[in-house]
Amino acid sequence: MIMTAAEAQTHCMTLDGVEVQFVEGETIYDVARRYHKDIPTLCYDERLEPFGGCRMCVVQVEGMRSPVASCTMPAAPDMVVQTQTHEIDSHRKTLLELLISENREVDVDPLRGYASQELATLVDAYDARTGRFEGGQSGATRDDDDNPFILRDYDLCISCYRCVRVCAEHEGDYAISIMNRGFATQITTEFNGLLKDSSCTFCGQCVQTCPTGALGDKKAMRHTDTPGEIEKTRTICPYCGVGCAVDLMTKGETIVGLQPAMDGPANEGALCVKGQFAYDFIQHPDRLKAPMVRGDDGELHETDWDTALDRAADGLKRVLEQHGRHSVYGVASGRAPCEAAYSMQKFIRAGFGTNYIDNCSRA
Amino acid sequence: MTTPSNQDLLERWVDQPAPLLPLLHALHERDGHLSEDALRFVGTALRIPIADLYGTVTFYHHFSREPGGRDRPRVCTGPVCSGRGAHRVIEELEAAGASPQSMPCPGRCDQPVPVLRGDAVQTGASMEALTGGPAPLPPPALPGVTECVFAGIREPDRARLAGYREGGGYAGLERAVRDLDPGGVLDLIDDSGLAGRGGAGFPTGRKWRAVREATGDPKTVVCNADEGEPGCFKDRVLMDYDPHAVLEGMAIAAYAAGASRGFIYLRYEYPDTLGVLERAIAEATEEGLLGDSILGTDFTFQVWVRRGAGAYICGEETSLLNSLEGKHPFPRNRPPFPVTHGYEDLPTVVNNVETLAAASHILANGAEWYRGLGMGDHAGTKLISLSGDIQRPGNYEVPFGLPLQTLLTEWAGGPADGRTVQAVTMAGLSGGFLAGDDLDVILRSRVVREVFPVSYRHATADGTLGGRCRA
Ligand SMILES: Cc1cc2nc3c(=O)[nH]c(=O)nc-3n(C[C@H](O)[C@H](O)[C@H](O)COP(=O)(O)O)c2cc1C
Ligand code: SF4
Ligand code: SF4
Ligand code: FES
Ligand code: FES
Repeated sequence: MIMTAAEAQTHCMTLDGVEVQFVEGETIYDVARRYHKDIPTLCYDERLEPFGGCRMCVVQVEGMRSPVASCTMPAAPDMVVQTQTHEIDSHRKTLLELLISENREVDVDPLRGYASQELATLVDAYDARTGRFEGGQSGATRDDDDNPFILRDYDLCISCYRCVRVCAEHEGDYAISIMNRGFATQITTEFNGLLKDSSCTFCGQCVQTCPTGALGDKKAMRHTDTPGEIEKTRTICPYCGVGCAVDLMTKGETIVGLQPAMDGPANEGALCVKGQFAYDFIQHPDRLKAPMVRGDDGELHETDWDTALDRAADGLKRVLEQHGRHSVYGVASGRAPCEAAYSMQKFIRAGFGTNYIDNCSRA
Repeated sequence: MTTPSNQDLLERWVDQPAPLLPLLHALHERDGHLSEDALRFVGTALRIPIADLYGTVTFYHHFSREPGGRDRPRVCTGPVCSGRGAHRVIEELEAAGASPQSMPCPGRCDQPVPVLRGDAVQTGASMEALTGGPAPLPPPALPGVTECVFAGIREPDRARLAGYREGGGYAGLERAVRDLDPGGVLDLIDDSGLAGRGGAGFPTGRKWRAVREATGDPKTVVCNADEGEPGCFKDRVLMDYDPHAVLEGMAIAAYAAGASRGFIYLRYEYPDTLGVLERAIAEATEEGLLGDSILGTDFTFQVWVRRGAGAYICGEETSLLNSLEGKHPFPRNRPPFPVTHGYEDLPTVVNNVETLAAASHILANGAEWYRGLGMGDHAGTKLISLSGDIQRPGNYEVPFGLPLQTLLTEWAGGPADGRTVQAVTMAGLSGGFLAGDDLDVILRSRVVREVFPVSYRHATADGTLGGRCRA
């Protein structure tokens, strides 16, 4: 029988008493996830290289003295793994008790970021609000960083380094790193400065992967006290042609924030500064709600749609007649919805017979 | 001499292996601290993101970022020195207008209290008493005790090539490359029962064989001279007085494992040792014992010393490798292990100083001889650094099988005057305390591995048992 390459590399191991298959290169965590095991993690982000820092994902492997981190341990043939035992549970609980003993608070508003509830959720799941440990605190909040986008509330940092790793591995920006060690450990920029003086592009990726809310979306947090439940609506960022999937967050009629869709096929959770933070115009008080035309006095005056459209049509037709079809050039706005962008190009191509159509987000 | 420019220093190091640490040290020494300008220069030249480089530099205890910081006195506040006047020395220095910093144990617990200023180290229990000087030699062996790594260490001139050769040095390497093939060396080391002296006790022959059998070139031998465990100061005396034994051991390991590159990763706190090692490497290279065509054969092995910058974790082998590579010195996840993915992700032997020195003696004297050095059924010897409230602190080479009480009372003269032994900490502070009946243990490799999982390297007899935690 001829085997495919994939079949040739398939091995067996035992997971919670059941024989399962895995492919070479998978970690224990990868295999366990495929079999719907609920292994808790904190330093893990599936988009990043496994780091093995938090030890929440430990499992028992037969023949190994101490529990091993499943997110970094390669699955091996004939391994016998227990993902949940009394010992493992109490180990995880102790880790959580230790972690929160260093933090000012555990419960943070979900508007801080996509992953911001991970720590609090685990703390509740493992019943770890015991106050069993107290002592040193690591991480000091950078109140002095008054950039408009990213809150640096490092009192809540647990040193999982997801922020540093997403910035380096995913963004290629290397804006942040880890300084000092022990209790003095701190997320930093070059020379411990402000984000705006670093190579940070304010993409917000660090914010969205932070499992504690130590990094927070300052713009969304303006709506912490806005009443209502947060509702998420999946849509596509209109700013450019990539097509990043985003979840628009609303409370009632108010847009309160935006988070990248981790399962967006084009972006897999990534966004740029515009997609992440530049949505204020939607609800801006200066936004035009009625058409305007320029009067003989040279000023713009509010009018009704028929008047405005007639005026525009006259002008465009005159240009077309006098100078030909290529004298018209359309630029659609990246802030308009996708449907409007489509109508715009149709209008220029079909209406005028020219391909002189562009979108501002290409510029 | 004119002050070297950034560019001069870069040119000195940029084409060398593992250039980041030495380049940083050169700038640190030139300016007395690591300035923002210097770091920007290094980051650009070595293509390291500035934020990363800044984070890495701040990880190390001894790289200073403030002008004049390199020469600020650092005073040991380790477990022994804290009970021996460390805080008095700090207060006195403060009163004298210096701005002292504390530092973790710098490996001179037999001479409390060490103060490090730039590259100068002095020791003394008060500011007045601070004096410089070489590491104390190990006390003479008791009659009837045969030593291995300390056998020649008290011979004058042993640190120089001529002196070392006069005492039979490099006979082990000659035997290896002339009379044995690599497989023969591996068998001999296996037979000797030599196991790692850096803590984990992994069989040395198996480690070398794994590297030999791993694919990937060039292969590397790293001598772990980071000796960071508080209370441990045995590797320093070996390197200071018998550096060629360590180099010879590295060359033997390289021959057996098929390696052509070697590094000694030396802890920052041993500045004098740096000079000793560099001189020894130059002598051995000159004589064809290192470098190309060793002893006229086609075996090539080059050795470089790289100085750490103060970080206990860099003694852990994968942190050490990251540090050498100029990365943030966090430990790596294993597997893969260094034997297949070590320095630059290529197969690498990492061995402790003592392990490597022992290998030289084993090659010269045979596996049988080495096994016979232990007492009764026990094989081989172990260096113990003894400090605290004991009559004769210092380094002792004990046969495995020796009762701990014999070491404390007969070898080291018992507790200090007017004291009784209340507790002993083993293996530095990671090993916990022994007290009462537990003191009646036999020093054997199984005890080392089972009772004290990290290592058996150090014992402190401390008359006043305090509840101290490891820094
Ligand atoms: C936290 C930590 C610190 C260590 N420090 C040292 C050290 O200072 N020197 C050393 O030789 N080994 C140290 N080790 C052990 C090394 O990782 C490694 O096992 C050893 O260098 C291997 O050499 P060996 O087989 O000759 O013992 C340390 C290990 C750990 C986990
Ligand atoms: S916002 Fe983006 S570029 Fe800036 S630190 Fe976070 S991940 Fe890096
Ligand atoms: S700021 Fe958040 S993501 Fe970054 S290390 Fe701290 S807890 Fe992790
Ligand atoms: S999730 Fe595996 S160690 Fe953090
Ligand atoms: S030198 Fe001070 S404790 Fe070791």
